[in-house]
Amino acid sequence: MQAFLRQLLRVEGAVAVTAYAVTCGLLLADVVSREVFSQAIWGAQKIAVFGAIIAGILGLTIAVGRNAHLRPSFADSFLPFKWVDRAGDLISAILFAVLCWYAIEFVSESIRFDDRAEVIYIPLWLVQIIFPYAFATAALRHLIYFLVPETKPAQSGEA
Amino acid sequence: MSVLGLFALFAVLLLFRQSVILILLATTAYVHLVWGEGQIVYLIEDIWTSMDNSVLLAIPMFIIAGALMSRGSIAERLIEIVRALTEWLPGGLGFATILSCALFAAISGSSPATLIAVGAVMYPALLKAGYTNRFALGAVTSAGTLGIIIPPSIPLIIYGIVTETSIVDLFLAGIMPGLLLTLVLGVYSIWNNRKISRTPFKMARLLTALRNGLWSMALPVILLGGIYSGHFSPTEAAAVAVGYALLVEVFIHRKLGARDFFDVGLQTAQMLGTLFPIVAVALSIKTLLAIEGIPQDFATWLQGAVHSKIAFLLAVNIALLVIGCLIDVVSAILLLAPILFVAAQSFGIHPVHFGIIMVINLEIGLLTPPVGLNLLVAMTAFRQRFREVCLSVVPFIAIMIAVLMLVTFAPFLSLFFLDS
Repeated sequence: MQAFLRQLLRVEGAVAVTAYAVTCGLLLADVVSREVFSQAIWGAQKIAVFGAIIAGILGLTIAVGRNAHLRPSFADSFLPFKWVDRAGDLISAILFAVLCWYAIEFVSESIRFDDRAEVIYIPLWLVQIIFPYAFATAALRHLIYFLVPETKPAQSGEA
Repeated sequence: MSVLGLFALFAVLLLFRQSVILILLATTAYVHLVWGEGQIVYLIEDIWTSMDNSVLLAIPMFIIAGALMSRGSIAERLIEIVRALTEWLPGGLGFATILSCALFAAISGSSPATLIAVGAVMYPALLKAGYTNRFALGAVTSAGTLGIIIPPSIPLIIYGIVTETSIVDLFLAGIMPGLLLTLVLGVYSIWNNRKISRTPFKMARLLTALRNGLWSMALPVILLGGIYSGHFSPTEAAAVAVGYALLVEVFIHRKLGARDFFDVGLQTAQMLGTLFPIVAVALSIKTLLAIEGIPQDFATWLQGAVHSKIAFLLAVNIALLVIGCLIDVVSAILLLAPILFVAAQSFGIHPVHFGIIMVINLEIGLLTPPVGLNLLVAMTAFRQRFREVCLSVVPFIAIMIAVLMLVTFAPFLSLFFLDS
């Protein structure tokens, strides 16, 4: 299980970094092209935005994988029991699963209405699919933490 | 009853140790269900709409640029130039610390990045030169906050997005207050440490530092010059900063490799994974508030309760200073800017001026317990007790409040470059 979680984190990390590299590369190329050739690169801004969305939303599940989400800890002493952490993971898994359900509904509507991106005109669901994916893997991670608590990394985001 | 339900949901999630993002998502979903149109899918739609915005791109790009410059040697070289220029002054190293933070702030856009990059070099140097631990700690922790007022600034970008105010205007407006804060903090450093022995000025050291730091010095010029001359937008400037930092660190300073870019990218993705959904959810709440007309209702109520502009500004400053103690800068801007912005406009306050007032208030919030981000970062980075860090920033907070009052009641300080 640990190996699976590590591998998942590695793949998502590689995709997020690639998305940022593409975002940055396109924005830079756009500036250079505009300044040097007086012509912007077609669709560069839009693709860059999509790159940042993919990286940002993947970051949500990466942060779950590294247990790095900000968490208010001032109320921890009200329920100072070990089982609360596990119950908390189960609740997180349920909440992310519900969000995943609505994200699927959102993407399905986008497919049904054939929503397309401005300028580059690609179907939006190709990018929006990252929402259900990220919510689903976040739910899966919390479910694994609930079932096998040893797989959960140490908290690194207490507020 | 519905409000009670909201509080109950919030309390249960808090007790069961949920993350900020899940608490926000669940409570916003509840708000959509009860006060909105009863459709949770609208929450996902709002998140998508708010993220599908090219202005937001500036945030990850500036975070990546700041991380690359801290990891490489751009920050180090900038600091050496400032040290060679100012160490001969009484309390010169303290002044150099403040100035280095201001300079790094002008390229990184982030307060914690400024604090870590400059503090890692200057904090041990100050202690070695005989400055007290309290001053050294206070100087790096407080001057580190200059990152959020000196352009480019991530909180100013967020204020611009939320209130639909020009980000270039906000950046221009941040220059004078940022310089004023740097100057006043610098003068305090000189005065407070005037008895500490000085280092003689050496032209050879300065020339070497300038030669080594030439590429680093060019960055703020390219960045801010590019934005203000209209050659590129703040978002593009952020990408230029990343490209330039990579180019300089990989090919000229030869300090970074592909592995470093991967680590920085992953770190940024994780950081934004915690930040972006919060921004998106807050923008969703803002849309809902606007539909319900709550900001307008609040502004009307406030105009009835508070009669003068001065009283309003004082009340806003006090409220924001208190709020700054309790919540972080980004959340405070996201939650309060849409409401206070409308109220400020009803009192005839310029939107850009109001943005600067908000950001300076919340800049002070970075130094006030219990959730002052710079206090927490300094405590971890310099391995100090929380109490010691809190005490070290007290004189700096007093100075910053004085500057805040000046900026609040002298709008020309913020609007100087806009008017001219």
